[in-house]
Amino acid sequence: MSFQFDFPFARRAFAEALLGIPVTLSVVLAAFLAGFPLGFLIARCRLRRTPVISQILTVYVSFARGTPVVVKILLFYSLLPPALEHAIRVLGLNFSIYDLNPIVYAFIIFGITSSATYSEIWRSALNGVDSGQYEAAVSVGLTPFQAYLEVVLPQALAIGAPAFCSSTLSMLKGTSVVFLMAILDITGRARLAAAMGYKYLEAYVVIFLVYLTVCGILEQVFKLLEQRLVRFRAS
Amino acid sequence: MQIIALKKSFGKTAVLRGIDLTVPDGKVTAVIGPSGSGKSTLLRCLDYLEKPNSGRIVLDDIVLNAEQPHKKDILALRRSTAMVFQQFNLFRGRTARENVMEGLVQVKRMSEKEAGVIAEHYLNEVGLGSRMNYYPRQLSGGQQQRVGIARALALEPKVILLDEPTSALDPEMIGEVLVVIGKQAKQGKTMLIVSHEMDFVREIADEVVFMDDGLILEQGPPRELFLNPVHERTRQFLARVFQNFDYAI
Repeated sequence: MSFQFDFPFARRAFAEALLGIPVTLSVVLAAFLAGFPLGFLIARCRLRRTPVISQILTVYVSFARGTPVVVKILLFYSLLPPALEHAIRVLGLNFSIYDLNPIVYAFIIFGITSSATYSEIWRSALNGVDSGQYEAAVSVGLTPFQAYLEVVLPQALAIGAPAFCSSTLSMLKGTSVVFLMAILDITGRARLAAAMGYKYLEAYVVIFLVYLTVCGILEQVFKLLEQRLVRFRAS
Repeated sequence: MQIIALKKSFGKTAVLRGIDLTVPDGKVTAVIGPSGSGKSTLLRCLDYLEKPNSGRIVLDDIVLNAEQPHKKDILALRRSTAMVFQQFNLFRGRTARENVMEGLVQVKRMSEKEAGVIAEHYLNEVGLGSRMNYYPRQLSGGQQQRVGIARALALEPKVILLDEPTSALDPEMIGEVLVVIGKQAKQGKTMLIVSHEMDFVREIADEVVFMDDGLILEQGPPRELFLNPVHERTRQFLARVFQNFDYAI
């Protein structure tokens, strides 16, 4: 059986896939904006062992980290809308849950997942800052909030930066499953193109290259941020 | 500064079992005693780095009641005192100058320029005029501790708390730090110092406090306490510290 790589098709699929980049990045950005601060708060509560809340958060984190995204998509996207639709109808509201852009589900699902992942990174990063740094800050007269903001946070960020970077990159790659919700991200667009021409190999090579490039660029962005924090790193 | 019936326990272990102490203004008070006697804990309670269980800390118009501590009082107490740590605890990623400036800018709301001038003054004071732009990791232990002292001095606190300031230093660096502390003591700064450097304590302290097992056993001017200790425990401790080792190799 002879096989010929269809370059013209690959070029078209490539152009298609590029159109999916903003969608992919918007999911990553939304998840980052929600998960990064949320992860910090979760880590703080767990480190302080705030009673009850700390235990609830522990369960939340192991649930969010311990279930595949695909399963969460199934739960949130396939099971939740009918239930919500029913609830809306019972309440007599003039609004259909099916009008909602499915990308909202992607934001929520990846927001939850990343908040749990980031919280674990925050936890180890905050733990990695010597307690003497906080003590020195409050003894100088800073309020606990100032001590955190001025002294502890920059150091924790410096410690956590490589892990934040790699977990964000793996989240970016992980967003490829949103095509299951008919969202046209990089993977979704390329698969659609492939399905129309029955040229899956070309499409997957294209996807491969596009993700590689996008991840490479994001990695460089993180590197630049990391360089600004390097002086806070332990000797 | 007055400490009244201060108690602190970690779990079931009582570390401070009722401390009453007055730290007179403009004087150097030294706390000595065997390790585990609660000296460092006492000092850390005074900056509220450890939470005392009961008792009161009075500093001019600040009254911190350990049983009902108000955030306002804790902050006021911390802002009227300054701590010099055993492990220096300089802010990582900040130069010597920035370390001294931090409190001035954040707490005293000075401009960067004003704070910079003051920071330079105090770094010169501790003999580090040429190291202002060095990061902590580029400084020796002795130099780091001198930055720590400059950071404390710059805040012009009512009381300076020094928690074993030379214990983490190599022997050849202890001298330079003690000289700096001694100089400040002679200028009439109020200090409370925990130290194992008995010769130094004897020289600079106005009052020496001997602590053992969470209690103050006795206190007095160094001359009296070192030469005529009343308590048996004090005598044992001093004998151990001052024993002249006689080695035959």
